Amino acid sequence: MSTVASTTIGLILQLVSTGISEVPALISAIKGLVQANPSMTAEQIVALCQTICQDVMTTTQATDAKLDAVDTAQPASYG
Amino acid sequence: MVNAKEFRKWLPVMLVLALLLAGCATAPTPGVPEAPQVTVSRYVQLGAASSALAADTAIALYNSKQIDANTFNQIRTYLKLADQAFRDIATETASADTWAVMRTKIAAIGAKIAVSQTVTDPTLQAQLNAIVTALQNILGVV
Repeated sequence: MSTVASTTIGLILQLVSTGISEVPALISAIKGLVQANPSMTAEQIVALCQTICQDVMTTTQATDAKLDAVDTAQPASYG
Repeated sequence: MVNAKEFRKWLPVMLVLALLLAGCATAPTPGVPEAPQVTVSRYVQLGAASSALAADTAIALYNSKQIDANTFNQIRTYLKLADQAFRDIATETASADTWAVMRTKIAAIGAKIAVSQTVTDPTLQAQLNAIVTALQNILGVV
């Protein structure tokens, strides 16, 4: 049984012992429990990796261009 | 205190809710690590950023004659190799390969460049070390 399900049953048992007026609180607690368990789909993982990959491409290509722009055959500039 | 009549009224709702959650809740438990390719991607991003900083520092040191052309060329060669490795790894993490295939390819790419360079400037050394650390962290994941 998953952690979410077992915790939910625990909350229900707690509700029985504390009073039925706590139903909104129970629903809120379950909602919070589920929201605290984010998961990424395979598509989301690929999309995130592609975004980071694009950033890496941009950064490294800019770095290489800066390095290539330095002409060590000439005396160093003082700029 | 529990009102028995009210409890009976809500009991079916609670049971349905519990059964739904028991059957459908497939969300990971708290603390579950992120997908390894995402972790690798983040380390690659850090490594690429460190390389960019190291390049700026090396260029500034060369232009102010604090390092000679030979040293600058060695650093340039290393940084360009590291940048290429970061691009290759990033391309792999964004590919459609399975993680089993991905990790083998990434390990092969990372192993070629995960060696440190030694320079006298402490700032540049720290930036070069950050690149190596990023690569070592990547290899630690795969």
